[in-house]
Amino acid sequence: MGQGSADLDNLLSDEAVNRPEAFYARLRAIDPVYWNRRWNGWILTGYDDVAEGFRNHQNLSSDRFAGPFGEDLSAVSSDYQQLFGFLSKFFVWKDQPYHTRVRSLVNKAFTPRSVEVLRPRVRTLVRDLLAPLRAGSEVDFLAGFAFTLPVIVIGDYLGVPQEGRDNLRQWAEDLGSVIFVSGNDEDRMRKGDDAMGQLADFLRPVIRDRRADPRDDLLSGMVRAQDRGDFLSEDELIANTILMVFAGHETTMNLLANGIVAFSRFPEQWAKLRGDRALAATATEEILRYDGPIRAMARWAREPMRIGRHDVAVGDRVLLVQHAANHDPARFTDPDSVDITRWPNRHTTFGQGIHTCLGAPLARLEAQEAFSALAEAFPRFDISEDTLAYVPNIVSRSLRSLHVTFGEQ
Amino acid sequence: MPRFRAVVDRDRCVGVAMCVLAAPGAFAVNDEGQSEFQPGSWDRRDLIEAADSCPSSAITVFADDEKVS
Repeated sequence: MGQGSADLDNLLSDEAVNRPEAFYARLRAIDPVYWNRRWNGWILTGYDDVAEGFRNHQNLSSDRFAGPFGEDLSAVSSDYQQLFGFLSKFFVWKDQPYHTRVRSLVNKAFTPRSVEVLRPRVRTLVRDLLAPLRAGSEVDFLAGFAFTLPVIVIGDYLGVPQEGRDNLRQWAEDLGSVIFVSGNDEDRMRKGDDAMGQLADFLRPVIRDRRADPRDDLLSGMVRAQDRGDFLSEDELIANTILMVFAGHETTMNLLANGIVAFSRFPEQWAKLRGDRALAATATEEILRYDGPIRAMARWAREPMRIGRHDVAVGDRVLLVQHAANHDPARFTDPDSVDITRWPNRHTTFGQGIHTCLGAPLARLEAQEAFSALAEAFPRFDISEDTLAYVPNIVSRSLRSLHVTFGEQ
Repeated sequence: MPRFRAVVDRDRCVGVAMCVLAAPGAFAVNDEGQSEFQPGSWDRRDLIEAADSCPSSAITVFADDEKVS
């Protein structure tokens, strides 16, 4: 076992990708604020540092198009103008004031109160998607359930036409490989550029149509706000719609899949949820904590600052490792076990502060309904992957494949 | 005129600070990154707007001692 420092610098090693709790525990034990020579930045793995890092938007920038991340991109961004033109308008990757201007525009549509009206629709969808799982044969859980549910929910809510949804998974995959993976290889960038262009071409006429003929959907709401003078250009509107489509299904898909894996390791927790489905809300929080869809988010220092016992210089990269914070034994009792009654459960999976995940209430609602209905329908299930393999990247925690056989007895 | 005030649930607040925008002056984010209600005479509509904007449903609005949102 190579446990030298070179190993710990590799955020894409087999251990880092597939057994993050073990990998980050080793980092945390050495130093919760660890200088990674390969990523060329600080890796934060302690709960308090990660939470504080999220809250400190003044000193820790989210801007991917400035600072060290901007320098990385400047070499390639002119070659892929569609891709970077739209990515650079994603509000998640900007600081104030742009971030807050866009967020304020869509914020109210995603409050718990607002998304609660979707619950009956989500419940019906879950019931429909669950029917084919009853056959007792092996199913592709990602394609058949975990992808489909969130993509329909966010598509309906935004008002994205049904016709485009078949293409969405491919577009999302191509975009995801740009968004989640570091490094700039040409093939990936080209695919991402094409996907972005096609998404924009798909959405532009839809947005124009909503301006002429508003409906009761979020796209119409954004167009209306724009007409009211809360100014967003058409490209900014398209960019942030793409962001919401993307963020609204990719992560939720992974949350559902990671939940199935978590429950397979703790079958008594599945039985407990089945026995009392009122536990779906706390169970969802626990899955978010134990193995949420996001591993880590990157920031960079706008000001010199002190983190742990280290001086962080202007321009230094800082990786806030949510997966590690959520498994910090200083914060959570028995962190590597699933306890669906755990409360309070202030995990960092949605971040904290002004960049807290916009779609969190919707993700929660979908996961609560899905876990609850699956537990009710199936007393047991078996995962038929020889080994669970995760997509090798720093940001997302997504399985390559998840085949499951659900059993009604 | 009843006096309007808001209470922030510290178990829920994650510091998105939408309330700070919705009701200028009535909320401030403290050192722990959580929003705090600032006592004063505030407009009922602004406080309700802050409660409605909260991504964590952490804000309750009272008119004197009666819950209004």
